[in-house]
Amino acid sequence: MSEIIYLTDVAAITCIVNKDRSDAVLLAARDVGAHAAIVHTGQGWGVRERLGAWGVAMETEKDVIVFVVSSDQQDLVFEAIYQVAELNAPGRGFMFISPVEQAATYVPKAVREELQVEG
Amino acid sequence: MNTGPDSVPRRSDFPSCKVIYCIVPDDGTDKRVLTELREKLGIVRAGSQTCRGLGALAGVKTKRGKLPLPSLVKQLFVVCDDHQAEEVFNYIFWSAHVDKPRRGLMWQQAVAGGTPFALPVDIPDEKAGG
Repeated sequence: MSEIIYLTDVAAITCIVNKDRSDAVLLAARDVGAHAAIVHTGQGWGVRERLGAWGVAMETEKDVIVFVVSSDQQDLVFEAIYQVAELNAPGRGFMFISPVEQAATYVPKAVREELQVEG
Repeated sequence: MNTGPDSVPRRSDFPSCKVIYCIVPDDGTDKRVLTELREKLGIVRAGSQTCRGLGALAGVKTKRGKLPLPSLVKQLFVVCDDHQAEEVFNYIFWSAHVDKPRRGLMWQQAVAGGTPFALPVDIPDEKAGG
């Protein structure tokens, strides 16, 4: 059993977008170096129901996407998502970054050895 | 804590705490870890939810403009007091085998305040595997 390597310069980016935009968001994040994401589905009621053509309340499926990225990458990923999700337009969704105190995951042996040499 | 029937709870009644998230495969690990947390560490402010996981997003080769196939994963979430956080974090790490390849990721965030939670005492536990 080896020791836990705590990753500390990490941030979580949570992005709530319409379901049809989630693939574009994931691709954009991947292109700027995001390594992993989890997606869960939300029902999509916001603070106000949008009215359709017939005046009926519309339900929009939303995806809640969470990226855990390094602090160095957070601005890059945030800006890429903002652009591709068009979050400047009304009703497209929103996003926030929250600080992460520590993270842990599988660290390959080669990286462990490198860290020990540096350490 | 000021929680009598006529008293209005104040924000300061609920101290800061930590929330720990852990992504694990959908193989029953989440239920096992939740049970162990309750029995061994007394953690009951916890749960898990199903989500799509796109691990190794950057490392998988796909056709241009295509994403790798997602896998069904569970996101475990645990709220615990500040002083317990390190113990809970380490326990989940080893119990969920996060140190192994393709077993997920976990992280811890600070929470400004959290309400207490207690399970009813007069309801028997479900049988194992039930």
